[in-house]
Amino acid sequence: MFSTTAPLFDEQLRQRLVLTCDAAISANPDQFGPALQEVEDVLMQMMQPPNLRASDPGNAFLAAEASFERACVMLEEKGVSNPGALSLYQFYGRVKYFSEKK
Amino acid sequence: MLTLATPTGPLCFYDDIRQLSAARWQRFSAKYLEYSIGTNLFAVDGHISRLALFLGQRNMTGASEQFNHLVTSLNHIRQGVNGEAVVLACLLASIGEEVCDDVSDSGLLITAERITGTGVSQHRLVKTLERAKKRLSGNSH
Repeated sequence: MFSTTAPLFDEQLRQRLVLTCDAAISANPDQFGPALQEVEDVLMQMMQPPNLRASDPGNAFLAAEASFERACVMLEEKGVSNPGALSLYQFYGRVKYFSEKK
Repeated sequence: MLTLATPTGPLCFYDDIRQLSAARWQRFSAKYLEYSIGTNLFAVDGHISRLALFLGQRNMTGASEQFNHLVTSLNHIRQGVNGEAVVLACLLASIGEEVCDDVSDSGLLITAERITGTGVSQHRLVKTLERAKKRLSGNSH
């Protein structure tokens, strides 16, 4: 009944599981309805697309840029010159050191 | 360094947190996020499916963002931008003997065109990007 090749076996198993769940839900829609709605709401929430509008100050990558600039300013105030040119390892090492020293 | 052999010479990418500058990592992270919406027709297909889902759920905020991503993806395709190449351009140390250090928006687009101009396949670009990101993210913090 099932294929002996792994990907096809997985796919057939998945389809069988979906059909079994579908049959169980169709037989008892009232029992599973609220739970399914809850799962769907959570999944939709997880799928919420990030804001990437260039003109919006709440833009996800502008926020990341601003956070990096704040870290650079903090390091410059502590006497680190041109922090952006440091290697990633040195940069986060210094950020961690000064954060712990506070 | 991660080296990608191409018909026109090797492309060397940073893949070590002791070599990659923090500013370049920042550019990489921002561009990775910016181009995560995709610059090909598969991405457009995904945006349309999700747009239909959000509209079906009457989630207008999600639908509006998704529509924005759809338009952005289509604009990238119209302009011939290769998202993976732009993101990789942030990590490109050199093309052959030539050092690449322009990580401005326009500089990255020019470098991306040079990367695709070397004739390297899209599949290898995607694999290289995944490999570099994995190595950098695995030990960045």
